[in-house]
Amino acid sequence: MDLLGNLALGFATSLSLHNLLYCFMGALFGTLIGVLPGLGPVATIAMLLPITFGLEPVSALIMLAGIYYGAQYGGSTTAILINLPGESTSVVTAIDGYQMARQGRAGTALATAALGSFFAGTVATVFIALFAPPLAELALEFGPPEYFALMVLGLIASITLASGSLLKALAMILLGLLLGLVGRDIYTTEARFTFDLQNLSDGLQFVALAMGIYGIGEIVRNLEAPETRSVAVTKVGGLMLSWADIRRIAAPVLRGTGLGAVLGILPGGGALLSSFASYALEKKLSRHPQEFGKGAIEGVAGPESANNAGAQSSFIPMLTLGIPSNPVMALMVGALIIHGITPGPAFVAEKPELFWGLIASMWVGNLMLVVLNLPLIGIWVRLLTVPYNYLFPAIIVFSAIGVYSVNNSTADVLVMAGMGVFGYILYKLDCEPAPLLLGFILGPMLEENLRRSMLLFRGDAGQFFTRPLTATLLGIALVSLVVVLLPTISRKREVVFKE
Amino acid sequence: MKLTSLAAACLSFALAGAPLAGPLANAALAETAYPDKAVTIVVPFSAGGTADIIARMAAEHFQKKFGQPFVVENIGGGGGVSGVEKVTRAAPDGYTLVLASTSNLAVHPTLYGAKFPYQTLRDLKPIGQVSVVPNVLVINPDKIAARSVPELIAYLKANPDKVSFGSAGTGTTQNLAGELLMQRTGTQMVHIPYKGSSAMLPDLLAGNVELAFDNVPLLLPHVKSGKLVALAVATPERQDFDKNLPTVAETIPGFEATAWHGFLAPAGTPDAVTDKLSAELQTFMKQPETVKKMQELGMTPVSSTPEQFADLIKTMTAQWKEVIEKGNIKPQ
Repeated sequence: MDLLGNLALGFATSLSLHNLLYCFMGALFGTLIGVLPGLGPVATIAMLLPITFGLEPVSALIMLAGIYYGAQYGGSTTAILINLPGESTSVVTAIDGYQMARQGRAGTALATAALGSFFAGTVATVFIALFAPPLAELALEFGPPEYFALMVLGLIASITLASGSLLKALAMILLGLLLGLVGRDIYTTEARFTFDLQNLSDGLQFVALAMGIYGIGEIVRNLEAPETRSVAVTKVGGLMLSWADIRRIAAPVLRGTGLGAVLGILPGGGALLSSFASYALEKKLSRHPQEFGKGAIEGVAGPESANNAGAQSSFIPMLTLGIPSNPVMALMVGALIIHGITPGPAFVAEKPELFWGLIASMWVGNLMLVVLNLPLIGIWVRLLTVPYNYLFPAIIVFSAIGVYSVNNSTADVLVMAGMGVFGYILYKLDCEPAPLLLGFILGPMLEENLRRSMLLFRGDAGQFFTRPLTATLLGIALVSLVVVLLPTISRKREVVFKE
Repeated sequence: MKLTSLAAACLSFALAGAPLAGPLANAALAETAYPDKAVTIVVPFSAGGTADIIARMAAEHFQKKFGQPFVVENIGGGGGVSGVEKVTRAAPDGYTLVLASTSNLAVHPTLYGAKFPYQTLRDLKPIGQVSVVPNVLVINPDKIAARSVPELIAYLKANPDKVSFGSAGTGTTQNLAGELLMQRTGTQMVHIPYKGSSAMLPDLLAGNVELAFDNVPLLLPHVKSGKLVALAVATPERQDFDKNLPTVAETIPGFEATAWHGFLAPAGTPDAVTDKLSAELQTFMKQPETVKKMQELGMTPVSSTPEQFADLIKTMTAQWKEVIEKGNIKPQ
């Protein structure tokens, strides 16, 4: 295996002066965009796409990839500082990250996110370099029944996301599943819960839902009791991690990286699941599970590493099979096709300098992000000292712009506003929104894959148990369910997780 | 439905009358000097797709020619319904245009039935077609032994309901192409819809679904690697990307299942405006750079008059209406 030769070619390509420049521009743009609530990488890449027409394909791809993982970094920043997850992957970061910020440890949380992501990015880069082609084959082993089983497992794991009562967590998951049903059914094209509004025919938009429930809901509840908030955030705290912190995050970062790297390969939502999965796992394994939901540093370190590793390894199906795993990837495929390059099985062999250049640039880009972000943390954190009556209108305006820009739809802004009220009600009822969002994400995928499997099986459900991978995943799901429901454990759970 | 065909008839009269009105309209045009402010081109899909790229290229050309900004606005959602609907309700003054596809223009109004918010030729005025996106019929060679269309038909006849065909979604040309194949050959397959072509591709490669119609850029790398076998192309004529690949029509006469795009304005837009846009669009479509870029994107560039585009919409609406009704592809 001439891995070293390949990597040498990759670094030679990515370290050329102008490619370094594009990498930096991408990472910088991405970070800035990620920090603006709701303005996601999709809109940005779409806007910058015409600029890339004139570039060398490798430079174009390096810049677009930089925007992508830069935005992942930036998205966590707003999740931690103002409880505003602009992307589905930063929802989990918001749970404990924001609590850390309220305790005056925003700097530590941001540094954890940056370092965890950098470590995960480094490992995932090596992982892709070593295993990309065989891993792509693995992704094909996942058909509709396997995805269905994976989603079942994810739903059961999501119960652990809540730290309050089990009943409320279940209710939130169910509500999330129901919200996920809105829109046209893809099998019959029947409109469900759309009230004949065309704007709802694609369902509720995730960004609008998440920013409403978290961001806007948070603003409403802060305005209700302004004094408590201003006390919490003026304590900014140090940036650096203590030895105790580093010891606590080492294992979660490693586990998160592993989970993300593996799940990221699955184009059907794997990268998305990885941060949720990492959170659930850390909470189960932690020696201080009572801290989760109240500012546990592991709850930031694990999911942040997982989401960055996942973002990186989701390049595998894109480059080797031509299968984009999210809208950003789809845009990158589009950019490549414009340059007359179609990603696919022959891509690695035909365009080695492009493939290896991109991989090497991912590592370079991640390094740049750390260098760029560590000094910026001080600035971001100082944002919190801005008086809240100036800060919150700005947050609302940027959120509205961000949500609007996804589809140029005012209806989405209204959805966000409505969800803000809903988020406030949930807070008053002491219901945590994270399981709801996971239900919302998993529900449609669960339904889609179940029905697709049943069509492929021609109605014979028994086949779920004759496919080894499906049967194994469903088995694990069953065991997890039993563990959650066992009376002794669940009693312990309630004691342990009581706020 | 009656109303629609009446409206269509009126429109084709109006269109037929257009050449006569030509000189007069041009005189009027010199006075009104369209465009004298920014023009919005609505693309009813998210940014970065093929439709979006054509729209942006055309916008750049118009901007240079007319000296006014042409702004592309992406209004995704509902498979394009939201964006097209918005244009049908816009003022018919030429300052709001739409670049729409087959599904929007020739399928959705039939598919979604009575409650659907627009009828294409009643509510929109064609300016010109710009592209044909050929669909290729591919099979997973590990699952289906057939290597030609006649062999495939024989296989399907011998194995009713055994083959699953994947598509980019219910009511897409990929779906309707499969339905058309079944209806014209009297065979039975099971349709498995996905959310877009790239979601379908892994299952096609893995053999979970065995057959699909889809566009060239997506499938070609896998046909080259041998993971998939292309049997035929669903255009009336053989295509430049592979002259050896037969058409489905060579076995099933008249078989056509392609996607296409074109520009339209709200119904009632003055002829002077649409004629001016149409002339400039045709110039743009014939430029070598346009042709080259579109071929790279897997599309065949088309330069057509408003009348030709209106005819295409009419013919294809009729064809897909028949397929949808026969195949009972409808909500409820």
